[in-house]
Amino acid sequence: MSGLVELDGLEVDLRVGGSMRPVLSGTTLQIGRGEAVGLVGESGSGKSMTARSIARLLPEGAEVRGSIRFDGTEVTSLRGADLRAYRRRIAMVFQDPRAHVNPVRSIGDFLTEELRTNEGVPRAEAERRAIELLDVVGIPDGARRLRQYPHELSGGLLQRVMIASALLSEPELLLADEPTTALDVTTQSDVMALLDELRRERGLAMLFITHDLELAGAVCDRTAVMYAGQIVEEQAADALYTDPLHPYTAALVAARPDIDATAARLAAIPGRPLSAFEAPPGCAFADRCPFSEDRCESERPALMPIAAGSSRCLRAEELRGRLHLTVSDV
Amino acid sequence: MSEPILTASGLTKVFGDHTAVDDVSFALPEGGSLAIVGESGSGKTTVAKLLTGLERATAGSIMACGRDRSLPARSAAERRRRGAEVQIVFQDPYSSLDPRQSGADSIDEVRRLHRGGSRAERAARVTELADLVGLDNRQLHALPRDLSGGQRQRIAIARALAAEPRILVLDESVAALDVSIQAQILNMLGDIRDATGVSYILISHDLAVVRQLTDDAIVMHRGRVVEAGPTARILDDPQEDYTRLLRDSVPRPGWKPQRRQVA
Repeated sequence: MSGLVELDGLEVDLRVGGSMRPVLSGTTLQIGRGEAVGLVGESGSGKSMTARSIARLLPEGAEVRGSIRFDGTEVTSLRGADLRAYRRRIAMVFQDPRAHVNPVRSIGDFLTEELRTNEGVPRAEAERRAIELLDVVGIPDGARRLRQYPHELSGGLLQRVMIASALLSEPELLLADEPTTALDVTTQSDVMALLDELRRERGLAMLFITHDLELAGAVCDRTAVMYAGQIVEEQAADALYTDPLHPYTAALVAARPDIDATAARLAAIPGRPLSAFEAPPGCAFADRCPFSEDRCESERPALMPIAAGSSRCLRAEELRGRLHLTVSDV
Repeated sequence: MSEPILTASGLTKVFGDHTAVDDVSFALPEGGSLAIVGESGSGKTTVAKLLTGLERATAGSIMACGRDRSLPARSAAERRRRGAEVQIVFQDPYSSLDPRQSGADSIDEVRRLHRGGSRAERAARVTELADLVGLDNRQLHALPRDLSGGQRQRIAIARALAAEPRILVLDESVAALDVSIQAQILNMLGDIRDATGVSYILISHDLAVVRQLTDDAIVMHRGRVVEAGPTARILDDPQEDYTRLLRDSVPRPGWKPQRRQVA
């Protein structure tokens, strides 16, 4: 599988007040052509900033170091026409469709604007293509929908419209940032199935951001777990439960209540998740980790290959195979 | 089983030509924990509003702590007594606290209104409540903007408990929290129930959270109750198609998303 996206040592600082604050501190990740990679973690871990860095949608004044390569081209230095051409090859779907659509423009305007203004496609032809796409995302009767406004559509329908609009420019990479988090669970299942199917049909690569490990496992080939602006573990999506490589992943799995059983107490992780700017000099997870030793406080671990994945834990080799069994008993 | 602390009978709420809640009945035993499960538009939040007096029922009755609260309170004293009996914690701790008031002040305000007491007595109680929800002194006296989501939700829970309610309505109260924080709050809610004997109504769409925190559940769909019973039975052996659909839609290891036809 050839690499479509390669992040290497990506560091991003954002301007907060008068100072710069790190939000990503050395993110390294590859996405192959047609591959689906999950990015999971808690709030502030840097998932969305990773996607925004790839899409070149960081807030103004952001400082970026390290490299983002897309199909061999360095993305961080693209400008003008090259940047616009690059952006046509990627598409992004956000958590809240209502925040990313103009409420006073019709669905038809929203879906055909880019074709008409940038590609000079006549209105009738653009509408025909929009109706076709609506059909692809499971919205029949597209001609009627084009005349409707966002407030007339349910969240699930509107998210399908967003997916349709993401597919319009026939991108090679889809950045999906919690696309189903705001949806009902039955709608989530439906929209995820749609995304999964379209992605496979079109050979589209996907970076799927979610806080839900199970959901990532269901639709991704590989999953990366983020904590405090870094990737702490990365491996085949379905192995995260059975063979976690980092204590944080194991703790995350254990902390989640189980639909099949009531626990006397949940295995809560003490403390709260850290953001990159709060991370101590050693391992960022050390003060919440049941396996932490003295050296974890002082030595910053690197992301090292282990088994079929990688882990950013000094004790990864020695803890291998015990994490998911012991974390809840510690 | 003891006398229910809360009984809803034939509860109905009509907005214009839309029936949001349609003939809903349930009973919450004293010290019990009941989940109201459903998706958006199921009417579950409207039920929470009816229970807390934020909406008036079109038909049906609500009995709480031995008194009827189907109609609006007729005096300030009655309204206050209802407030002291049933408290609510909302989903979003970012919008449910006064941004200009520290946690200590907002807990004290509820305490003073509902239970009175001298300044020293109230201060002691605020400290006790902060301990109960796991807030340290700095966090207790900080403004909401200096607190994380989990810490704010602890304030909101302490604030509700300051009234010493018999019933606490938790309206998606852990839904906006990160997994590691959610586990802490769920454990804490379990401890509080053991320590104070308060009864819970949990409004939630998250079946795993429901399993963890409640004994009984009702499943709502389009304003109606489609299934009711012990939580474990409903989740292990759902009898209704809709409950089964809900359960099958929850991602888990080995799960694959399913496409349905758009209505």
